[in-house]
Amino acid sequence: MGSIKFFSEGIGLAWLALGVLAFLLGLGIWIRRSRMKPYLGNILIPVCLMVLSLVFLAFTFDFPAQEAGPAVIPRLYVLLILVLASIILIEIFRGKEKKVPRIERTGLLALVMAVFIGYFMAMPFLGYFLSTFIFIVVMLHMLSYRKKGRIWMIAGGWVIFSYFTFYKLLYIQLPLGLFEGLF
Amino acid sequence: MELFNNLGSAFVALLDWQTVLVMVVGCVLGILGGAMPGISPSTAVALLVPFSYTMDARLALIMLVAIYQGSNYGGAITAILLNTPGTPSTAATCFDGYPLTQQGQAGKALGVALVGSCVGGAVAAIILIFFCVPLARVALKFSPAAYFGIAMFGLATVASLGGGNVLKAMVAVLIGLLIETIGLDPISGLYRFTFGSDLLYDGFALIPALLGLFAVSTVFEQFENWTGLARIMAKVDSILPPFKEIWKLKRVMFQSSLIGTIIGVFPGAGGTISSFISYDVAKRTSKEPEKFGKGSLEGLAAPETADSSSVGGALVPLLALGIPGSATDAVLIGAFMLHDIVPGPLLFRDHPAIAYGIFASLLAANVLIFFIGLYGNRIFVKMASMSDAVLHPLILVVALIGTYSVNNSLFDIGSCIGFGILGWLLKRYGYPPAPIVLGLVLGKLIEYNFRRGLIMGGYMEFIRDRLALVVILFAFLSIAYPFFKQLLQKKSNSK
Repeated sequence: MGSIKFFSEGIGLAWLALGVLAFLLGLGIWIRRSRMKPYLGNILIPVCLMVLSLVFLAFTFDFPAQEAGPAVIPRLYVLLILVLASIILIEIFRGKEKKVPRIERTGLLALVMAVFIGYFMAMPFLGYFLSTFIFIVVMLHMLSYRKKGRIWMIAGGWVIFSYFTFYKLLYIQLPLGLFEGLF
Repeated sequence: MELFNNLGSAFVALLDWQTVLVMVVGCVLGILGGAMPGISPSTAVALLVPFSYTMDARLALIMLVAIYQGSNYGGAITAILLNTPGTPSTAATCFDGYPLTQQGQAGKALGVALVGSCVGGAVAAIILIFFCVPLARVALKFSPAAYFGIAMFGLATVASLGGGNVLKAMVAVLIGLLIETIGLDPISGLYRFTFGSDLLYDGFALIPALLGLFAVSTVFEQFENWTGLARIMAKVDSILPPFKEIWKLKRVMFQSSLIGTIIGVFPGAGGTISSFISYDVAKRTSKEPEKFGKGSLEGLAAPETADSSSVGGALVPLLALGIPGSATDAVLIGAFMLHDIVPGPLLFRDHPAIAYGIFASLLAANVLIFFIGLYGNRIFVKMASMSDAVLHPLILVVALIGTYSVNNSLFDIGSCIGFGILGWLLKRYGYPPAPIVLGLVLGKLIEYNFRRGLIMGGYMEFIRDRLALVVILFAFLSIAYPFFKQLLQKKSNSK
């Protein structure tokens, strides 16, 4: 089972992840060109779960073989996911699945996610207080909050509130980034 | 006698100023959380769980239970004033609550909902006290095989969390169970699925998963069809109707309290089902059924009382057996875990101050909710009218800070965002996120007891142990029942 171990970490894992992504991408492109296009997400979710379950299943062969060993329970879950996800796929292809309504504000949602992830990435460098202040200001502007003057007050108010409540009262060691040693 | 002694001590301990303070804070935050559409009781509790980490375990759990109880009344505010249930379980409150608002009796409707909510909560708390302790004593004698069955029975909760599609809810619970196998194996000590990363040696922490799946995913969902329109609510006070009018509702309230508590005890049933059943029973047994749906006080009191009493009912399996009776219970198990306390039969032996403290505080919380609801309603309405443009970014910030506060780990924040995106994506395609949490919470319990049973006597152990066999069969029936129900429904629809 040495070959399975190769894929469980490092470069092997990267290859495995790339392979899985390539497969899902290929499948996605194929579905988009087929009559099943409206069910793209509905199909990709169970397929994705099945592929990941198979990856987990493959890794269990690296575990010690015992009746009550560490592989028993993961294999049981994988088996059940494979069975249930297959039934869901069959239902989709039989036309039993409802179409999911499209997202009206795709751009806004993607932007919110990007800003949120950016906020998380910036936190170790800018520290919690500054990154949170910027995040709230950016979000309120993005969401067209009408009372422009209040945006700075809300962001500043929250930062002051979190300083006293979380940092001073609850002793939460918030990341300070550039301001390490200042507080 | 031991029960009364412990309960007496717990009531005395409630008089401590810190306990009173956390109960008041819990009730206020609960009502506020419940009043904001989109924030379910489980989200409200999940957002506050991490901040309870530095608190004393008893105080922390008392506060979280107060939030849970308070959010059930809070949900009625928007249901009555806006015809929008603040929590899913207050959907039936809209039927007669909103017509009363249209008739200019919003204050009275809020008053009746408040009384019903407090009566239901108090009756359920009393039943909880006298039912929980004997059940926990019986549970102490369970074998690992029987406990495996009990944990499986907890999965029956999935049925009500599925939002109609049991198959997808089952897949969601399996996702949670599979994620829970990541990290150190509880029996052999082997590291599983860690992909060479020491960050995964302990698996994914529960708090980031809770906040990601409940809070972050809910916010993302709100942005799908963002309109930015503000909620405008009339600023009204709760007006307590005359005692004579309340007295007329005594039968409905008592009946609904019993229905709510009994249904709440069964994992998976919960507030939504109990409030609808209570509404239906109240209508059938009412002398004025024609008034239902047009602003009947009975029609308002029934679902509100049942919803509130389901909290006490749902706490029975949590405290006595350690299995969640609802999605919010699953979050509460996370809070117990955060303080290294295992809910279940041993709780009464090892941490009586906490177990009985929860009982006593649940009763006291209903009294507090009554006064807070009566005098603070105008403020709650004002705060619940807060613009979503402000509310949603703040929820995201609180979720991140809450996640970080437990282990001071940026990896946990990354996990929270990951779980948020996963939860949003799955929810979009009909896979509810609450069963994932259920899987994460019950995963260790199921695996540990299943494998211990196997070690003790192989697969035959689950058949040899009569109690285990009965519980497992019952658990499978509970899980299979919704499938059959759905199948029968499909067949009757096709005819």
